[in-house]
Amino acid sequence: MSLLTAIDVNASGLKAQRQRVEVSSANLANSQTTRTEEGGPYRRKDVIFQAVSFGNAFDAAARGLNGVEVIGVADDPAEFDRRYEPGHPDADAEGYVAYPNVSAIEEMANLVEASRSYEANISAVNIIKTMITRTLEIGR
Amino acid sequence: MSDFAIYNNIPRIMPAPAGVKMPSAEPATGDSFGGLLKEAIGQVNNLEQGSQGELQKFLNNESDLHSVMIALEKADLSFQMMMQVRNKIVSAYQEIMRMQV
Repeated sequence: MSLLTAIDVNASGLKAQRQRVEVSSANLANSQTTRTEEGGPYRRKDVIFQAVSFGNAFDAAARGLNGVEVIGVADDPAEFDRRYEPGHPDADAEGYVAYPNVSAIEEMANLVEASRSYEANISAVNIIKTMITRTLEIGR
Repeated sequence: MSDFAIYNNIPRIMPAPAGVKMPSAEPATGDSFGGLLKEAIGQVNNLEQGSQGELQKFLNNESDLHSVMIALEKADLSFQMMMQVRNKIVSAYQEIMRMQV
């Protein structure tokens, strides 16, 4: 396992966290959307992370090395938020409108967590870079 | 030339990233120090070209900013490594030139 492979592993983490931020942003942007292409209000989305192998078959030390990848975006099956708004064009017979199952607080917490994870991955990249730079100072 | 055996490890420490083809780097014969050096410089060149390609992809909206930064960092680190190797070679050369015969 070379140090540059470790940088690639952290790069996969950066990409995964960026995708998570994108999905959370989409959730926030659509927190009041009552119409979608599939019909009905917008359903909250969540990313699914999966570990992917990074080592090559010839490098025994790197074989167990895993990066992360977003393999899909899943719908949140939670109930929609029903509000009594009889004047709304999308209100049902009883006058209730189904709003997306998006909680702004939850999304903000998600965004903060994703942002912290992103920063942690960047710190790891910088530490690896410092290690390589220090290594090059051997014998100087 | 056995003193330079450490340079055999250059490709292992700084391998070319997957997907980057190696037009300039010929496989070294193992004994020839010049061949090893050529290979190492070829790999540094590949990383530089990889970072340029990544930047181009980013400008075409096909890549992420962090991929560009990481490609640039890799190119920078491998270039620094090449400079260290060069410094060693130059100092060894100067040492030999100062030798009294």
